[in-house]
Amino acid sequence: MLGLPSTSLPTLMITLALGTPVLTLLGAIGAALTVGLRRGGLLLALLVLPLYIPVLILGSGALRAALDGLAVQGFVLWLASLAALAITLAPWAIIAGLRISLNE
Amino acid sequence: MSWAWFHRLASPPRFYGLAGRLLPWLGVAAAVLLIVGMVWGLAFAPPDYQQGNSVRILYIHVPAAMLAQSCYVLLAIAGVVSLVWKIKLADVALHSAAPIGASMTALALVTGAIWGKPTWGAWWVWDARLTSMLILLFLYAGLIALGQAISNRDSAAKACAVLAIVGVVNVPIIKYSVVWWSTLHQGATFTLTEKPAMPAEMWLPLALTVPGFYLFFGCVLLLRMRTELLRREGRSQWAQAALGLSIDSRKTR
Amino acid sequence: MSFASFGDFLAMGRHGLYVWSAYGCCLLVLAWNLAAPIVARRRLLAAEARRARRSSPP
Repeated sequence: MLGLPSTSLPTLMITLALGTPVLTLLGAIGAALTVGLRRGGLLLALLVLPLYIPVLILGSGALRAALDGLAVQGFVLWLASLAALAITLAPWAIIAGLRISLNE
Repeated sequence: MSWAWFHRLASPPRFYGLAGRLLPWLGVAAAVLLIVGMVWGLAFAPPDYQQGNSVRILYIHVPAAMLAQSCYVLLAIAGVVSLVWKIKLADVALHSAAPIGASMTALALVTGAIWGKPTWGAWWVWDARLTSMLILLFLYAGLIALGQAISNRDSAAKACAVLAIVGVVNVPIIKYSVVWWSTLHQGATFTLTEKPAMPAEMWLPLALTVPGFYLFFGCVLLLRMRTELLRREGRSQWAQAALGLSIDSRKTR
Repeated sequence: MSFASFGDFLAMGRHGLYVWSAYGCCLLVLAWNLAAPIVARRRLLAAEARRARRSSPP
């Protein structure tokens, strides 16, 4: 599936399961900050892209390690901690962003 | 413990006066350290056994990179102070420091690339530390862009504070990336507990340029903050008095 | 001195272009960081002086 050997599929699934909430929540922070702005779309991309990159590096790093037969625990644990941080802290940032945009 | 001194410092006229008195000292100290450090590094420090004379770029690349990260941490702290204690001076600091930090990040990236070409044979590699520095540059750019996109100053202050705090997670990733991933960029030369891997005659100029850069940053930041304070508080009594003084002193010159 | 002559100093043992362009960039960045706030302050003072002259005619 996806041209990957079946041994790497569990890693793929885990990294996707952990990474997707992080990306969604980070995107929501950016969206909350820019929702009221004109041409906010471009600004949103600029804001959110740097925040995404560590997650993408970790996810692809984990998959690369799985393909090479190396240990993936480090990457997966890192993704898990980012997911935990995002789920607990991002809502506050989203609330703050929405309040700011409502006042605008 | 009394926090009165903190709140007194946060009063714009008091800060304006204090910054004005501090500026010349910072400027002179920075100039001395930078000139001596750079001349020493360029002319008197020994060349590296493997890298030859290109190692002299170290003396400007390292302080720029350190400043780039420290400045972002400063932005995040200013963001917290601005959001939690609603001190307007913190937003002035954030607004003023962001361009300086961005220019330092760009300088670190450019000098790093110039250094990398003779050393590693490549202008750029996608290793952890370089990529994280590039991400930091984009974080600065986004912060500055967001601050300019929002017209209401209070909303802009809050939005930039939130973004700075969210982005500060990236700074420890940069700092520890050299430890956690084995990469092309060399490991930490200086730790707090072990002897440095570089001989003294090579890192001594660095001991001058690093404080020099930081003092320069302080000097330029205070310069920017003073002007920004005058711009924002222009109609207030203290600002009118300060403006009057400055305009008069320029006329008599 | 780490160099035998000024010529050697400029050449930096084949790395001259790299070292000098890096230091050049550094000086440009430091100069911009110093100049931008000074110019901004001068502009603000000039604008204020103009405003003060307009609002209080002799």
